[in-house]
Amino acid sequence: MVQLRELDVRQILRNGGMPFQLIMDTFSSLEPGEGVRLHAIFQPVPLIRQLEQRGFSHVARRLADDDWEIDFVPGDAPNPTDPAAPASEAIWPDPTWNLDLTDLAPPEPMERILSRLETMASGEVLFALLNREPVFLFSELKARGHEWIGDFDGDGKVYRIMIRATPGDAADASN
Amino acid sequence: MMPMGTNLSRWTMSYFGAALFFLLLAECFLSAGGWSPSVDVAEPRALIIVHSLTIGWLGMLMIGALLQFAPVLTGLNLPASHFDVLGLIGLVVGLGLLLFGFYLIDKGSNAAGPVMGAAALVLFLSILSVSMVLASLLWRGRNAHPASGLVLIGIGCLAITAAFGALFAVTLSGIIEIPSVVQFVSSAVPYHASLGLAGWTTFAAIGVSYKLLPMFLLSHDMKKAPFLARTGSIGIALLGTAAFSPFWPEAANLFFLAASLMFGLTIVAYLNELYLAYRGRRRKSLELNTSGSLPAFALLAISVALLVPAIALGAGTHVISAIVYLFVFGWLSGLGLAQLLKIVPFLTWIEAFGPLLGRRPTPRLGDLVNSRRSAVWLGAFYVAVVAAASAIVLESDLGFRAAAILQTMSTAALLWELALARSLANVDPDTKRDPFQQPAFFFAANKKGHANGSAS
Repeated sequence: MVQLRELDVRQILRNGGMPFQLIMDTFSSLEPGEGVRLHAIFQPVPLIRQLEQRGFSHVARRLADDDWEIDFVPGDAPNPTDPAAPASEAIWPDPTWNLDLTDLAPPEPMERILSRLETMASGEVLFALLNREPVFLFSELKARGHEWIGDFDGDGKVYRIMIRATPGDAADASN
Repeated sequence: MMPMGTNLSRWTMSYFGAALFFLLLAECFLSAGGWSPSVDVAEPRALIIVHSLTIGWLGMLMIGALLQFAPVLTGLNLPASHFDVLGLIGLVVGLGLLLFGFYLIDKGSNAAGPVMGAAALVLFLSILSVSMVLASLLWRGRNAHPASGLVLIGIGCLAITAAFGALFAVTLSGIIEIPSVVQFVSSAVPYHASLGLAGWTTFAAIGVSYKLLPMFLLSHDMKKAPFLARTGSIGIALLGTAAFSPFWPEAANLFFLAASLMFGLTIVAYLNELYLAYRGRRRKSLELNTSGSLPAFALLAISVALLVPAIALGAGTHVISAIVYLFVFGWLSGLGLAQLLKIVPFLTWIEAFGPLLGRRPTPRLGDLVNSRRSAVWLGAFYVAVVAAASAIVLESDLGFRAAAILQTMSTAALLWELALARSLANVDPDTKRDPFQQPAFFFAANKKGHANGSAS
């Protein structure tokens, strides 16, 4: 049985902080054969990809909308029967589109992003920079079945969002 | 941080509708001569106008706005949305009873007592329940945006103002006849008014504008919220001390003056931040909501700058009334109307066209409201407000009435523009073809299960 070290970054994330360095330091300090159980408020996809490259497999569990528990285990493959996060689904390709929307006032960034998403194939990723957290965009992304992750940069001035086009009503939209 | 997004508040439009109704009602009373500079503000029929404006217009406007923007400020969803509509019904019924109670007092009717008692109970309970819902949300999300703290100060003041008001209502109507309470009530009116206007509505307006203005100006977030929250809390504490030392009038006056100085300091810091936000904006041309708010900020500066010396020098009732008129109509109402010209089209646009975005051409947000016409009405409103305040200082009943009529007409015209925007009357009919669904006028339909939801 792999020993899992607990790391809870939920409060840091809620306060708008960037726990990336802390997470990386924790991983660097692991004993051989030791893993990490990370508590976060979303599924940290880029982090997962990076750690997979370093030989950690993962199992993610979504306990609530903003409460995720991700076990990182060195070496072996993750539990393939876990329905919450099939490993292949968790790996996002590099963005096909990069949009800088920082000079636009609401609701224009929302218009641009949704228009672009309509032209994208399922699974493609869009990266956008905004000057605000696009609060009304999120419910529209949710309604359309897209997945996204986003946060502010270190200065809190630019909001970064990555959206993977996975339209829930893809069949309807093509009609 | 992973925000889950904000849904449209279902009842915000109903709060706005009720608020605008009470604004127009109060202005119609003013135009009809319900109050004029030669009448004491404490007369029951003047109190009908005062409470129609404060509870009806400003109170419901702020609560309606906060139901939508408290989730935006905190990134959390409101817990129990059925409180929204119960609060709205309670506020409308309670305010109706209160206005009717003042009317009965004016007529000398014996029924005034029970009506005022019922009004106090209904209003107090509705205000308290809505404030608790909003306050708990803002408290949980207090770290998400510094403006939450400012709105929390406002909501705290709202609760105290409502408690004072309930005590007044039962005392005025003769339910309570304990002499010490009656004496307390007769001296506490200025504190009731200050907590309501400076504490509740002003801090709520500052809090909401803290998030919205930089958003629409494309400028960086304003930074001084902690300073404003600190000076604001000290000011409110001083005001509270003044309110509860009525048996020592000299001390009460001193504390009241200190509270107004502290309030002045808060306002200077706020206006300075606004100046920096406007100057540092990346959006060069101002939209109507941001340009139309400028006279409101100017009138805030003028009324606060006049208020402190007026209190210190013990100015007459007319001067104080004129300053309060500028504060209520110029600052709070002017800002409210200017921002509604953006908020109503914005929420309507999101509801009607959000699901269609990217899937077919949709109208621009700016197409929903006729800015040029609205700018004329808003300008006329500000001119009328300044004219009315001048007429109060000059004690000219006739001048005041003429200004009030102009003010009422410009408000009615703005209401009409808002109604056109809400009903999407200004947009190209072609953009409204199937599967578009016209939003309901007074509330936001739940988008889940809405025809627009799948826009296929």
